[in-house]
Amino acid sequence: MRLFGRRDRMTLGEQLEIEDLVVDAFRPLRSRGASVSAARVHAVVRWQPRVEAAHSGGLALLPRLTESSLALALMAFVFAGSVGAPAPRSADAELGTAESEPRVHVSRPLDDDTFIRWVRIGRTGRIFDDLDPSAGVQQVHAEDTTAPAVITERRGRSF
Amino acid sequence: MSRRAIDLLEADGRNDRELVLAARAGDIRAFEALFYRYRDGIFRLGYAITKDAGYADEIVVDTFARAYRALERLEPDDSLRPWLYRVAVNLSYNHRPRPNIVITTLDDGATDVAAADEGSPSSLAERAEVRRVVLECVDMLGAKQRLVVVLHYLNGLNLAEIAQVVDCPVGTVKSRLHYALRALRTHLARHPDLLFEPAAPAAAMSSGMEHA
Repeated sequence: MRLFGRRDRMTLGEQLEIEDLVVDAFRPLRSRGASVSAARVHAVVRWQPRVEAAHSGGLALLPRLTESSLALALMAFVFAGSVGAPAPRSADAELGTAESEPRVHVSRPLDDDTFIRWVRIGRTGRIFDDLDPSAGVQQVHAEDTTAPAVITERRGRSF
Repeated sequence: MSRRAIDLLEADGRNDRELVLAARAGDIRAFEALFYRYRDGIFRLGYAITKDAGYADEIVVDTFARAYRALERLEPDDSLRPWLYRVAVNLSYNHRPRPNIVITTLDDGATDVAAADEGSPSSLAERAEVRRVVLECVDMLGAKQRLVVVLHYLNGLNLAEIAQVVDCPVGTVKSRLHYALRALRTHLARHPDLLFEPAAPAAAMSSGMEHA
């Protein structure tokens, strides 16, 4: 036997019958419950009492202002440290020599031969190695001032 | 339900408004009382929509997490229950299972409860089959009609509360419920093997035969 006809109108009896069926069908689901406890919610929201925050008013902004000012001070310190650091001074500035003059650094004690050699070479040639005057000397012969010959020396050997 | 939940529910006789105000003031037990008061209803709603108990549990947690964050904005004069159910409905539709997820059906608990009922095994099996068919027909409804049916017949919300949940006039809710029942009647009529015995159609049929 068919339960309901295909009429569009629904009688009150049919409506009650269907409602009973639906209520009965949901009965097993109605007996089920959640398996989670309130601790799960606490874990999500990290429960904190709000009493102090609600009554403090403007004082509630104090920690934020402190944090912000501290962060700004730290940023300013880092910025000033990176920008305002003294530039590395060159050896020329320390010696006070001009760029056109030969730069001579003495990195080892001078004996007589070396001193004489330094005097001769330093006045007529250019030393390419600032630390070792015996290396990379561009020597100019006294009798040939127009076309200087280049003699490269390093550690007593000539190349 | 755990012993702690039962204790909380029994000991706390405050209404929703008092509990919301207490929770807003930092009373953790008031918030827990609200949780255990509405936990199962929200679980059933989420389970009816998503058909997955795990999702339904997540929906319960997410709903009350949102409720906690919205405590300051909640109007204590308004009814809390429709607000919670509205959040749960939105979360349930966000949690709708993907096609590749195995979904547990709504009627998986039918056999458990039927086993506890009194009656012969054949009648228990018959009742379980009727429930399965009816739930299948409920599943065939449209989303809006199905939601109204679930809220009214499963969660027990009245029409005004449902109107708050779905954010529409009460007349619209009444109309949706009526059309949902008509659609259910149509779907149930496609199952001729179910031996229902409604009085009115049988009486009308017999009287018609006598007149003929």
